[in-house]
Amino acid sequence: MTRDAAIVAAYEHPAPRKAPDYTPLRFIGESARGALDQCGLRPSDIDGIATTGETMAPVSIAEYLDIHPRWIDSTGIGGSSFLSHIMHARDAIRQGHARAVLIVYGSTARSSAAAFGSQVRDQVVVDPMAVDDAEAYLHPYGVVLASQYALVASRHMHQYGTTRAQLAEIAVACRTHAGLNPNALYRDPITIDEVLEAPPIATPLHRLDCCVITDGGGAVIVADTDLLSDVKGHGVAILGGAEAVGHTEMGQRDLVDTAAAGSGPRAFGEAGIRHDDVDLLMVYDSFTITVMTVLEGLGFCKPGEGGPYVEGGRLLLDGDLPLNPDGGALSNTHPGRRGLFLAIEATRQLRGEGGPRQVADATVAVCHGVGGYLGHRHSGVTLVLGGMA
Amino acid sequence: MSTGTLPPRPLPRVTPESAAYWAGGLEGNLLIGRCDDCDRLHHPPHAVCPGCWSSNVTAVPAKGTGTVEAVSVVHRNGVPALKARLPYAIGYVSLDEGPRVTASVVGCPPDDVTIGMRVQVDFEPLSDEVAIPVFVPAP
Repeated sequence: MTRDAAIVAAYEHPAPRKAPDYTPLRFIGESARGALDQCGLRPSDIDGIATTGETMAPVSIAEYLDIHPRWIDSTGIGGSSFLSHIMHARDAIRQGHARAVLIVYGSTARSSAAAFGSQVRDQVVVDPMAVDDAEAYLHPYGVVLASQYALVASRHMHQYGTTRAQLAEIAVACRTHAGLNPNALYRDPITIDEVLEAPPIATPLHRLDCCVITDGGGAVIVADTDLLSDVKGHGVAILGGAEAVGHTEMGQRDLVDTAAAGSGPRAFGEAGIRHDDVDLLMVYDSFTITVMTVLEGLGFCKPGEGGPYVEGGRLLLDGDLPLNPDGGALSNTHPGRRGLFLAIEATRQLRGEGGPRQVADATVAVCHGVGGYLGHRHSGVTLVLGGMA
Repeated sequence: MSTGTLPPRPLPRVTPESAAYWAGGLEGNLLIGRCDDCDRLHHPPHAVCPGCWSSNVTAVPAKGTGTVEAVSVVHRNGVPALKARLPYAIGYVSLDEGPRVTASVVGCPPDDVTIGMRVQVDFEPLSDEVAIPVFVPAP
């Protein structure tokens, strides 16, 4: 009999978005417990672990939770990593390397005042094994993370006539949805004009084009579907997944080309879905331009047509393609490396647990994570999830 | 170019692969990589050609002229040396030889830097072994 795997738990830690009493490990431990409670598994059932962080992170977490996993994944490709972990866990379970994989994350990015969006490091610690030499060519100039994404926005606007008001549609949609999420950091509605008039961070991106930074944690459990008869709740199918890399191509790259164009078609192909099958889209909305380029890369519209595509409320809950019902990184939560939260909200939606922000009849969700610097080295991971009701 | 009383910029980390590139600026040269086997040009400098993975790579001076392909004016940075320079323009510059370089565009108000603008390289010496390329509007 062929083995298969499904998401059997998806837990978002309910702590406030600023939680100075927490450590990353406390978030991780409590999120792991919360995920177990959702599905009825016990700590001793967990035989695989995946996370991203510093090099030894999975080992440290295994010790903290006193588990002895026989399968480990520490793929670290930025904020998209967790979507890779879910795909890898599915494949490992299909091959018999594990039966229940815990994918977990915790961060105190806000309490630690890690201004990673608009600051470059003053001191560079030399790691003799480091292969990332990009910093040297960027940090003397004050190239911040936001300015790398801003360069893409600048090029997109120039090349395609995209306007800041069109980018603002994305921020307004996420804020509108955050208003329906009692845990979201920012819930008050905003207008396109308010996005346009917000203070500039790195032009053409202004403050409301940029994601928030919060504390937070969460956990997903991917398990052998044979365990499902033993557990409460119901699973979510991992229908398709694919990874890609985008980089400078050593000076040859066009800024508007992103990794989503590589991962998207392969993930859709594995899942056997078409664009009009997609009920909701979860995108790592680090910046408004990230979402626009992902929409194009995934093929929801043609390259350069993202601006007109997002107009007219298309991304709202009752639109053709609801985006980030939880409010996204732009308005809800972003403890760095947001990828895990994309899968958590998609799972809630596919289980019909969205409450006031539930997308009607949601059966297919697409998650896409962008890790790293969109205008520079980045990863793209697309995951297609489906309800099993 | 004078930087007035501004605090010094952060120094790049110099490695065996990048030393010649940073030192080239001290002599007024913007060096780009050229593969002697497949002729591919590349930036930033690497010991191995990104096209054919040959080690027969030579650093050659670029003309130093190019076109701004994208620009962002940075308004927020907490690092003191860079905060003192706010707002400043970062350009993605396409060199006439092909490779693109991300660098500061100076010599005009940052908001005057536009896509399509012709620029030429200039250098800011930061130490005895490093002068970083920046771009200024072409005359």
